[in-house]
Amino acid sequence: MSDQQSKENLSAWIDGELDHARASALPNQILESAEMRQSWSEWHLVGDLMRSTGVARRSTLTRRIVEQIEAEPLHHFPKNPQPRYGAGLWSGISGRTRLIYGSAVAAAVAFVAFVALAPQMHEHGFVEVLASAIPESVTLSQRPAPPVLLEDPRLRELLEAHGSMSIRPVSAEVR
Amino acid sequence: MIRCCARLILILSVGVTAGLLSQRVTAQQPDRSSEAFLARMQSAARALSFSGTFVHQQDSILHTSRITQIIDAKQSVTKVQALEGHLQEIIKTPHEMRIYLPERQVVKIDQTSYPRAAFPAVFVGAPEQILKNYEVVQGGSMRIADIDAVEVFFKPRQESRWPVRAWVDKKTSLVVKCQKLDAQGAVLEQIAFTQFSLLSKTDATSMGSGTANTNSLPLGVLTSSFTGVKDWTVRDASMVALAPAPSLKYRPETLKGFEVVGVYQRAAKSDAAPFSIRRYVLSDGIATVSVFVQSRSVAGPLTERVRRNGALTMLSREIQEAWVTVMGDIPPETLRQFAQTIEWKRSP
Repeated sequence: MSDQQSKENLSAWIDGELDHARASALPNQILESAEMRQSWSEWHLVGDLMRSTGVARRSTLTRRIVEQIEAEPLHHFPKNPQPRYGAGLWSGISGRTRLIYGSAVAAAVAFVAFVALAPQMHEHGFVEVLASAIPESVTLSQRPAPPVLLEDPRLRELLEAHGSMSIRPVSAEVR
Repeated sequence: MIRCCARLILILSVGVTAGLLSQRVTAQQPDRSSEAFLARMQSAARALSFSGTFVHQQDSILHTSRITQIIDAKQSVTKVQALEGHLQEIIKTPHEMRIYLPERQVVKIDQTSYPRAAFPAVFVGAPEQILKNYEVVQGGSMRIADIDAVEVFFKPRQESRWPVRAWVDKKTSLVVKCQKLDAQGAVLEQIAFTQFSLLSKTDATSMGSGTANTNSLPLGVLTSSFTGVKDWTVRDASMVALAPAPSLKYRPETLKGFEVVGVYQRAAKSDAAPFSIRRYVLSDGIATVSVFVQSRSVAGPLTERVRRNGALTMLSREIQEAWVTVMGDIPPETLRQFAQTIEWKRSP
């Protein structure tokens, strides 16, 4: 698979638009390729900049990585592995050790995600952030335009009146 | 030798004292250059004719719109068209704002005499009020929508408000990008031009008279594009300014630097309530806070928990048979503390 194709798959996976067969191969590719890890980080950095409160999608991705690593069948690995130069990270590791490593990686990913998300989770404790009130199952391309709260016409009326004296030039109506 | 040292010490102490005094005098003087700079930013938004495309981002929600503003001796019109999602068009004149929603055949007309912020001026207050509440720091240069712009940082003098970062066209002083940040510097909300062009006097005049037919500018730019839509339902969203303005009871220390800049009201449809809605507007020059008071006869509170959407936060409380909803471009905790101190008594 070409690097370009791998990156396209990664992009589609982040958006939740990749089929199961190709998606199942991606966790290993991310772990094995420094370039893929770099792309993964960069795209998520861009995502973070675009939405400082996009907790839902990031937590979904983290969960997917953990699930992929845990769900991967052990019998794909040879019983007497021969270490090969340039082979994948998991090559040459016994099933049990691999399971331990897999859990460790999953824990590390979960830890990094927790550290990154902790301040926002704290904010969620007392502030409801409208933009993240969209269900996790909804992908970026399927996202509905109007945030839930704006469906209340009484609130839209007040938002519109308030917006007349702020940096918001567009009406809160039918966003 | 001793006499020589004493003389030296005396000279030094006089010098230091003079230096400190002159520094103090400088600090007490208003920052004339910043004041003039802010005044130029404000007048640019109110005096220039331009057209462009801009992106408005609130958290993860992005919207692209087109704006055309024509200002000449005869008129002052701003037209904003949503380029994504549902069709929507706003036409603003100094005395009126019309919001066209063609899919619902609704047009909202607001003739309230608000001191509206001229987009993209960012602020409504006078420069001296802004400088009282924000430290204005000029930063480096950056190109925005092919415009050579300079960064201006509005650092709040109190923690209870969002910092603001703007990029200003070096030639015209027009704001071409503006961000509201949280205390950690993360962008909560922003507006940025992606395409911008100043309109010449000839362009503006011909567009205003509806005779323009250049490649870049459509005909009838000052009127609604939805002339084909029939049977519009007209909704009056206007309020009346109250003078003298009735006072609002709250603890000022919860909203330092903010002043009530206007009180507006819409009459009640029946005699059961003195009004259907009243709005108090408070501002520190850049951020605004609205306090809406509605009769409790309207169903339920709007939002009993603090909610945030971009830089905007909101909260509702029930006080003395009224729903009081507070909306403001301020941090959630500030809004909550302020809302908790509001007192409201229904008029006898």
